[in-house]
Amino acid sequence: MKAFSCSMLPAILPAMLAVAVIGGCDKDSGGGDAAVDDCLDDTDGDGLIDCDEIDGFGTDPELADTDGDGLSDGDEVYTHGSDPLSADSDGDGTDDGAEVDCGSDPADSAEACYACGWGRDDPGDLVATGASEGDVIENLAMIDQCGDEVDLWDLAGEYHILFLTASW
Amino acid sequence: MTEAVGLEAESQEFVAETGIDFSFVVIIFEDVTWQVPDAEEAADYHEAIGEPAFPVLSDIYEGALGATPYDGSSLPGTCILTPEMEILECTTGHGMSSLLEAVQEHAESR
Repeated sequence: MKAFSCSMLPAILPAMLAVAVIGGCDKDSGGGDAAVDDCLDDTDGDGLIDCDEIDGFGTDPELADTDGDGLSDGDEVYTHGSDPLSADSDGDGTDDGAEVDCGSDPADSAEACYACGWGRDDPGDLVATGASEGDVIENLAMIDQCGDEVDLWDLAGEYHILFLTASW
Repeated sequence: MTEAVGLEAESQEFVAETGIDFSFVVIIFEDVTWQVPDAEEAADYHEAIGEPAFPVLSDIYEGALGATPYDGSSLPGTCILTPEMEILECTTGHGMSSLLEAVQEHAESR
């Protein structure tokens, strides 16, 4: 291949312009150009414009959930902070969509779903205050029906009725 | 053990009616021989009550009775926990309607 020199510009400039227009993803070169307007569309309705999908995130502008993890590309980028190109963004063994469903953070490998499906959603700022009504209960560790050791505080975020009983 | 059989239906009905994020949690503090339950007890109990979607937990470290006002003298003990893990109210017995009303009242007051 020949090295680039300015003397080559007259020959290659038209081709460069054509690429810019046909590619249509240089948002700043707008000016009412139809190709650029198309590029600002969100063809798959996932919350990301086609330009950003092609040039920025590398996602498929015609596929709302590029990595097939159950979350739209837009939700991954703007809501969950996860990778729209990886079904398991934090590499913890659980797909991003399943993590969101169980209340875990799909971008944090320290948070994952228990095997039974509940999230590890410990809010982190709880302090146990006692065992009476009005107190914050201590963070009990127990074994669930799927065999996981569950921290009670991981179930925070919704109301619960503890049903304390015996097998006899 | 049968006292927990209807909890799943009650929970689903309550959530459907109120839209409140809510779940029961069964905690087994003794097995059939009055001993500390092992890890398998939760799975066995879960199966016996119809495999509900909520957690069924074996209290293998014996922490539950000391962590609530419930003393284990009659079955079952019931305690409402808020989303912030505050013990709102504890009582004994099978009737859930007053407890669910208390949950709804608390949620609506926030």
